[in-house]
Order: sequence, then C-alpha cells, then structure tokens
Amino acid sequence: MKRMSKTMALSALVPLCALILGILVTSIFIFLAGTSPLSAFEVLISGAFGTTGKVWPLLITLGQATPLILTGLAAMYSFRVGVFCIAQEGQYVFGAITAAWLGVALNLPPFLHVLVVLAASMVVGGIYGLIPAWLKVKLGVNEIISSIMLNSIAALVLEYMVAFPLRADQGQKAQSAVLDRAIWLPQFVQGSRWGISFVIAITLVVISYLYIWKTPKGYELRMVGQSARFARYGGVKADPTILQTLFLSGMIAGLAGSMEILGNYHRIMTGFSSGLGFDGLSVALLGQSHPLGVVIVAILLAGIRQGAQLGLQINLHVPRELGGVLIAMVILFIAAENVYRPYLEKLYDKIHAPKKELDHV
Amino acid sequence: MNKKLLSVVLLLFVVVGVAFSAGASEKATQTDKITVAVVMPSPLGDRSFVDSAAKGVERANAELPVQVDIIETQGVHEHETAMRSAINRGYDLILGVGLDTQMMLDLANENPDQTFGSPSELYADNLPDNLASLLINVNKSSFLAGIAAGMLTETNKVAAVCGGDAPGLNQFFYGFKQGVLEVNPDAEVFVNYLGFDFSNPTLGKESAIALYDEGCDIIYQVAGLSGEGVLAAAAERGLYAIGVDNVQDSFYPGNIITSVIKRVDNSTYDLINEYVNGTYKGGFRSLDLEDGATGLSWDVGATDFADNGPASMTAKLPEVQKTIADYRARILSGDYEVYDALTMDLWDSLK
Repeated sequence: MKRMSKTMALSALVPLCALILGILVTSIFIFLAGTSPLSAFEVLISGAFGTTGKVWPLLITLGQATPLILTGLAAMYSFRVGVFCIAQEGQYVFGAITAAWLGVALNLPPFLHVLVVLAASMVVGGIYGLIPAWLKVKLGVNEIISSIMLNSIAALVLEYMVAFPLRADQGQKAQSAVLDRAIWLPQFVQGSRWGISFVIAITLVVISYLYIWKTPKGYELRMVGQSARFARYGGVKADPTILQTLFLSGMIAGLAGSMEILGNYHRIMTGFSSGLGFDGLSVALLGQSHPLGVVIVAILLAGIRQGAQLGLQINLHVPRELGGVLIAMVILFIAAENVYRPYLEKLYDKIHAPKKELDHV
Repeated sequence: MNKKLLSVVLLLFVVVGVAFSAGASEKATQTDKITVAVVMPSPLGDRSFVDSAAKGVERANAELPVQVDIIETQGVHEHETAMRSAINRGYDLILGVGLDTQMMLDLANENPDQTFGSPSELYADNLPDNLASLLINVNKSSFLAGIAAGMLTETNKVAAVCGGDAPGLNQFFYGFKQGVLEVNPDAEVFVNYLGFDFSNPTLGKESAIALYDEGCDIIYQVAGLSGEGVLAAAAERGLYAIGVDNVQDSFYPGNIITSVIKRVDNSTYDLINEYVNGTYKGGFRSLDLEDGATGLSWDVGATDFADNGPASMTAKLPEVQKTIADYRARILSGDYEVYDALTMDLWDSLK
C-alpha cells in the first residue's frame, strides 16, 4: 500500500480547513441576521444534498455541478501547464453559441447531429483557447490580460448573436430558436438537469487524471508547468506543449457550454452564462488543480449555491447575499492558505512522526 | 505565535457556540395559512419594477390570511432553479414576476397540480388552466409620456434607454416614440438597449451620457435598477429624464419630468387575492389605462417637476397636460390607436 504523501494530505486539508473557517465566520453573520446558524446549516445541507421532494435537491446540485466540473477541469489544465489563462468563460460562451447555431442550422440524423454539434463546439472552444496561448508563446502577451479581453469579446458576441442572427422571431426575449427535441441531451430525472452530460464530465475527469499522470505527454505537461526552462533543458519543447494544453483546455470549456445548451437551455439567450467560466477558476484553485479535487469542489460549490442562495431565503428568509458571503469566505480562506498552512504542516508532522518510526521497526 | 492563533480559533468557536445556542430555540414557524412564493427576476432594491412587486407582496401579507415569501434571483440563469425550488417546497401558489414565457409554460405543463401566476409581462395566446397571467399594457401610458417629451424637447432629439430588445420592453419604447412623433414629427427618437442587464446603474448611466452627448435632452428609462443610472446622468448633466414603474419624480426633483407608472404591486396583490378568495382563474387577462393599472405620475399628483423644473419648461406644462388629456380621451374612446409591440407587427411610421 502506498502511503498518502504529505503534500496530498495537505491539499485535502487546506480546502477542508477553509470550508470550516468559512462556515464559522458566516455563522456569525447568520446569527447577526437573526437566524439560528444551526437551523441555517440544516437547511443548507438539505437544500443542497437532500433526497426528498419531487426532484431531489441532490440531483439538482449534481446537474448544476456538471458545467462547473468541466470549466474547473479546463482551468486545471491551464494551471498545470503554468499558464494562468482565465478565458474559460469566453470558451464556454463560444461553445454554447456554436451549439445553439449548429443545433438549428444543421439537419442530420439526431445521433450524428449531437456528435457533430459537440465536436464543433469543442473545436471552437479550443481555437478560442489557442488565442491567448499563441499570444503568450509568440509575442509574450500576458495571458491574464488577453483572456480577460477575450471574455468581454465573447460576452458581446453572444449579445449580438442572440439579438440579430440567431434571434427567433416568435420569442418574447432576445433568444435563439428552441432546438429540436430529438437532439436534447437526456436528463436522468426530469427537471433536475442531471443527465448524460454528468457522465461525460466524470469520464473526462478520469481520462484527464490518466492523461496527466500516466502518459509521457502528461509528464511533459507537468514539467513545463513546474519549470519551463528546466523542461527545455530536459529536451521538452515548452511552446508546443502550452499550445496543445490550452487547446485541450478550451475544448473542455467549449464542450461545457455546448452541453448546457443541448441538455438544459435548449436555446441561447443573453445572461445564460452566469459566470460559470469564472467559477471554474475557483473550482480549479480550491480543488488544488487535481481532477478529483475539481469534482468534489464543483459539487460542493454547486450545493452551497443551491442551498445557501435559494434554500436559505426560501425556508428561513435569510437574505440571499449571505449565501454569497459563505462562498466568498471559503474562497478567501483558500487564498489566505499561507497564513494557516504552516500550522497544518506542523499538525501533520506531529500526528505522523511517531507512526513513521513504527513503520521502520 | 502558535498560542495567538489558538486563542483566535478558540474565540471563534466560543462566539459561534453562543450564536448556535442562542438561536437554537427559535424554529422556522409553520403556518396553516395559504402559502405563496413570488419569484423576482432580479434582486430587490431597484426602486422600480421589482420593488413595486414587493410592495404588492407586503400588502398581501398585511391584509390577507396568507404567508407570501419573496424569492430573489440574480438573473436569467437562476430563474428556473428558483422556480423549481419553490415547486419542491410545495407552495399553494407560485408567482413568477417578469420571467421567461416559455419557461413558465413548460413548468405549468410539467406540474399540472401546481398553480402558477404571472403579474406582469407574460404574453401568450393559450395558457394552461394552472397558469394565470395579468399583463399590464404600457404602450398607451408611454405614448402619453412621449407627448410630454415631444412637446418639451428643445433639441428635437429624445431617446429611450431600454433594458432589452424584447416585445415586453418595446411596448414601452414604441408607445413613447409614437407619442413623440405625434406632436413633433421632426423629432429624432433614439434607443439604447442594455442587453437585459437590469441591475447595472453604471451601464445605464454610460448609455444615457452617450445619448446626451448625441444631443438628446430627454431620456425615457425602461431599465429597472440600471435605469437609476439614467436618472443620475440627467441630474449630472442638468438635462431631463422620464421615470418608469414607480413614481420616480422625486429622485432628482426638477430633472425628472414625469414617470410612467406600472402598478405591478396591484397586479401581484390581485392575483394573490383572487387565489385566497377562490376566484383564481387560469388564462390571460390584460390591464390598461382605463383600469388604473398604468398612467403618468402626474395622475397621482406628483408635482416635483412643476415645482422644481426650469421656468421655460414648466411654463409649457399646462399646455402639455391639456394635450395629454385630449389624447387620453381619444384613446379611451377608441378614436386613436397606439401601437402595441406585443401584438402587432411594427408599423412603418415607427421604423
């Protein structure tokens, strides 16, 4: 049996610690708002992961976590290769636009149609991911700035597309025509949004893990991410690796957008995105840029959002902003990990030091 | 150092412990009253559409034997989840204020045992029995505001800042445009759509400033909280704006000529009241000028502009009000037709 390494244990402990601290601090605010924190968290848990009611909250949470898992995975690839690209939002939006457009424009047998739409969205997302990568590799443009700009461009293109070329005539709002029912991605439970896209997302998570840790390409990717110069010294070409990885990252974010359209919205309108691409960044950061971490954090974040922002205000009349405070607090404590990380390390050593000696005996 | 951290953590635990024990005794109160959920399209605090609906909720809670909960949402992407959460919770009646028509129809068809309602902006020919829609037509009241703008403009350029390009919002805009052109055929009427961002005053302000720079002197805002930016821009530039939904004349007295009021508070209250009295009926009904559901702030006695506006403009007010009264009479008698973006194809004269 391989022993869990210290780094791995710590990458699990840090988010856990942040979550607990976030909950503690938010409790104070909830108390000040005149509600018992105990019943608040009861509601939060049942609102996020409960298994009662017509459509289980747990399933809704899983459904909402699906695009988060994918955008988180996309951000993870980018971080792993050492590029802080935050264009997932733009890639997600472009994937969605492509899906809404081809979903209406093409006329193919349903199964083929879905595959073509998904593939096209992935390519479009990937190309959109290549832009900041290319700018960085060839011209040395800071990827953070270029990807922020690309996100704004995507948002404006979306607004234009739904207001003019894609606009449905009968619709009340600026939105595209509803897709043919035959190409909707199936949901396991009607109204939960939890469906085949979740399975695809989890499959991609497993594949990503294998790719990054079990293949030569993945090794190169990690090496470039940790030290591009050393990688070059070792004979790994950093630039192509960065370009490939960001293309991959963009493909995943594009797929997320496309599956949201085919699976949930069935059409596209302004404001549909809700910053899911940005949430992917927090997911990847909180998940310590590890596929498993991404899945856990995505589900947790979707749950908190569901339970805190809707559950709390529906059941206890707690202002919805407090749910946002909880999420913000958790992210804050992750960002401030250096403050308490040394203590966690000491704690870990204390627990494991005697055990180590036993192992050697 | 270590001790310091420990003490901080301990303190935190103590505070939270106290909080937990203090709050533990109070439980969420269960009532036998009829329960109603009102799902809002954006957060409270816009001093316009959403707050107006909330006023209706407040009145229902005070006057009727009901427990009405408000569910705020952040935007389009949260509407469906919020509606579904409300359905899961098992409310007797769920009202969606200004939400997407198709979504409301789908939910109503999917949940035939649940009663739904929409106090505003849901327009469809056929509604299922469990979905009632009260629609307040604002084209005629906007037309009256357009008359005021058309007569008072000095640059012959007026504009509207609209939350989005949708028939429900164009009903405001084209009514207004028709009014302006009716009394001032030479005037130019601009429009700026905000891409359905109803909670961004900065965006509203920027759009308004761009229009003022274009030479417009009166801007009609139809943009919820974003519209507050339009009103602020008017005050900043010393120019003029027209408010919407609520009586907004007093926000910047002297800069806001009038407001087109849309009594979403009444329609919200009416739907709840009908449900309580057992007279609730699915289907589509529209309310208008003659029902008192919409009109100008002048009708309800707002005099902020008359008292604080510049003399050159207030001098014209009696004449403006007389013209408006004439047109109102003609509209009500059916003698004059105002374009309705919800039901008609765009007239050539308004293109």
